[in-house]
Amino acid sequence: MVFASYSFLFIFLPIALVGYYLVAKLGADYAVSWLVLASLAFYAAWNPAFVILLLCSIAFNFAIGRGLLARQKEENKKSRSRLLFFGVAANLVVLFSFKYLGPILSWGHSISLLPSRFDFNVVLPLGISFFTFTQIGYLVDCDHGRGKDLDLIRYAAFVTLFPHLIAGPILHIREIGPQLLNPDTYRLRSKNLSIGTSFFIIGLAKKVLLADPLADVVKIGFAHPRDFAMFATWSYALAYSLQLYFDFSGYSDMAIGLAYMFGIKFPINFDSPYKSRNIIEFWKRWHITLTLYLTSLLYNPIGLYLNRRRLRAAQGALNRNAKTLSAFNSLVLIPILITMTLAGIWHGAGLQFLLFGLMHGTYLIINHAWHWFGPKPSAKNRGRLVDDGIVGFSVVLTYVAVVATQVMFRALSVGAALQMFGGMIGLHGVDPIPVPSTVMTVLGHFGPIQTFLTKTHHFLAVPADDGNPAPAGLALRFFIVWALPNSQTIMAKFSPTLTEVKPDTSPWLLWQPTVRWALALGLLLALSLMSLQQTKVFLYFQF
Amino acid sequence: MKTDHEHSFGRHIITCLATALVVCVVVELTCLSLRIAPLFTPNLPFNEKMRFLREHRPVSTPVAVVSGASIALNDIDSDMLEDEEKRSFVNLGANGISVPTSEQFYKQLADLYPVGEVIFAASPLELRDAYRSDVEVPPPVFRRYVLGRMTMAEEFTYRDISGLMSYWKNWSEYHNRTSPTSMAFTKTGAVPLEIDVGPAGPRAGISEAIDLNPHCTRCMSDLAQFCRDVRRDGRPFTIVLGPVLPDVIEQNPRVRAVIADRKEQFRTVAEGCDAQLFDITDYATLDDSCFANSLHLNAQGMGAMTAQLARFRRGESIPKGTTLTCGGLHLATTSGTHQGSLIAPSSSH
Repeated sequence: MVFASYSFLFIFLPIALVGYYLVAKLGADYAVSWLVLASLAFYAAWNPAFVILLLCSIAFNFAIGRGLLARQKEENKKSRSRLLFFGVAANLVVLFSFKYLGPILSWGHSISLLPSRFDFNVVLPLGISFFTFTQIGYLVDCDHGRGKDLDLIRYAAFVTLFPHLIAGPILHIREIGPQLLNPDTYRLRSKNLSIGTSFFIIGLAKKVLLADPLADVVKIGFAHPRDFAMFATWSYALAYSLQLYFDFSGYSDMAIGLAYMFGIKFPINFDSPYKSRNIIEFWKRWHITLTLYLTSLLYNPIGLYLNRRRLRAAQGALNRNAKTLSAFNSLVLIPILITMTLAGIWHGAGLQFLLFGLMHGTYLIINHAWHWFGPKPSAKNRGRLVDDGIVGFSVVLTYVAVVATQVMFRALSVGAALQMFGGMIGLHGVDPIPVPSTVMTVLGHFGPIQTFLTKTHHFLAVPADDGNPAPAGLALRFFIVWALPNSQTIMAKFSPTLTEVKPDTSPWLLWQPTVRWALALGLLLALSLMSLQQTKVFLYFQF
Repeated sequence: MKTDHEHSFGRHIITCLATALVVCVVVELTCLSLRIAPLFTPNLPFNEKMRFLREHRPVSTPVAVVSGASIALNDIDSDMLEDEEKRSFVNLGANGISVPTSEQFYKQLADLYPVGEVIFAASPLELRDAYRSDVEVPPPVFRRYVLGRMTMAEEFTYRDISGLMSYWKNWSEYHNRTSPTSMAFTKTGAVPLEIDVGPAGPRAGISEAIDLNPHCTRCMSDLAQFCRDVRRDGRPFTIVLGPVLPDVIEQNPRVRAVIADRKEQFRTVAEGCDAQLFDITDYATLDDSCFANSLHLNAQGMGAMTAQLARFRRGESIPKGTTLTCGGLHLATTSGTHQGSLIAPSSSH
């Protein structure tokens, strides 16, 4: 069951919501129990067998968490560390078994290392990465003494909460625990329903009106990477970057909206990443909870470990301010490479995912190196136009760099990705410039321009059933990405997320419970409902 | 006691949901009154062909099926064949569908009505792998819709705003046979194009209209499979090859090579599954006046080609080396046999 489906919208969600607020009248414990049951039913809609795995995982991690909380005294530190290591390792073993064992054995069979009986497909339980990461985070939090007050049923609600169960955001117990413990959470409020529904509708529209229509054309482009010349290849690459953007953004909005309908606030997970001026900023805006998670549980510990190792070797502690190459290597280069490599592999077992991670790792290293060793930003006033130009150039450069990684990410193989790159730099020929026909008509009246355009005007003339993304459609999406405020800014006056967002846009674009907004969102909902037929599963579901 | 603020939130959500409901109901009623097919697949012509089937149930069975994409639709006059052979024909041709989709379409129809034979029409240049869309309608959905058992609410779940916008944008083209994308079906589901190829007709856009490197590796094996499946059911299978505008062939050696190679592949497929092969170019050359564009015939060309096909089907000997001239379109005279409407069902049914 996906959020953007009739069964979810007209059966599951109304039953879950009405049941939740009805049983909440009996007490908070009943409401939480209902939420857990609804979430398990949501999960079971895919594959009921994996509900058992999910329940076992919850019971195991809750028990380990309790064990960690019981060993909070200083003298228990070693046994606590061992228990934490055991808990984290057990989670990773399960994740590895489902996610990587099958592909590794298949690969072993394909190079004749293993007999054919090892060549089998392992069905990946939906959302296993997300609920595993969430629970590893819980164990670390327990190690730090957090999450004491949470009972099993609330812990189960924290893990299974259906708005985040399948594709995040990755939640921490310190964010959700207090909300689940607060009886006020379970009170029916028209405000929660109104704001949550509005947020959800915006996300639904992004998903079904902006992301999904691109899915089929993207599929064609990436299935035939050597068939298209330069502009066509670029259009497929850009189409995929926009599909991924609106798909993930839409999912994140829907998750926030759904949670808020149940009185729960989520953190922001997606913050207009294509407006980033550099790749460091990009990762602070894209899949924010994953970035924070990897930073706190991987990147920082690696840097800390390397620093400690130097101390043990009496080489002296590293200092960021020293700006030495050795400090850069230990505090930035190695932690980033390891973190981004693992982040890449987390997305899948293919070589292209590894290269995706390495490409981003390389970008980040270059970006950090520029900050460490590059020239200091000039303080002198260059004028607004120049500053805006620099910002614009930085945004476009960052975006193009990201698109290259997304081509690697989406390609069916590394070879196919290289074919796409070849197409993008013109190795498969240069097709005519895509000029909208209306522009052609207007400019066509000017002699030399007409000749030039006649020679170049082809791309748009390709019939729609040939599957090229329409430039006007891409342009509209770029306008939304770069010129309009994002959902959390639009909803900022009512703070439906855990992250504070400034209502930093025109008052006209700020959501209010007015008739104007109700009509606009009602229309958007109707348009979305009339597009559910073509809906696709969320791209992040596969991870 | 609720505050004013809570009331405004309550009013907001009710107004929002009510607006959505009203818009949905209005759209569905409009679609029903304009008889626009639900978007079962992203391929509008395919959906419209399903609507056509719902409104034109065969009067007698077994029915002969004309299958394929636009060549089946625009080059084979199934009305003429029906009149000639005094049996029911249905033209399942829909622009842009792949061979597997054609086969699926035929199978779903065969589940509803007895099918006597299949005539598959294609052009050597038109049949290709890339860009062809594989579309699929689940058999229960197909059955419920074509047999008229689908409820309004169920139909609404197959409405699609982008499809409706495309429909709206191309309304006149879909309802007018002077457009190559016309879906103004005749009584058996063919679309005779009322397009006269002028001096600046397809020649001007040859390089745009024709893909000179059509990949067709999978499509031939798909066709062979389709043919074998039909033959296995004991039904005759005929492959009909449509002509290509002579100018296009003359001007481009690459096109000539592709056509020659493809024809050989079609022959191999036909021999492999014991099917008949009718290649109009074995008997006659259709001159420019018979074409609507580089690959598709106009109404008169369709008539000329189908007349030859009818003779072939009767087993008559057809003289070779003739040139067929269509002499421009006389729309008033063609309208008698070919008039049909996307909107109105044929009065004969």
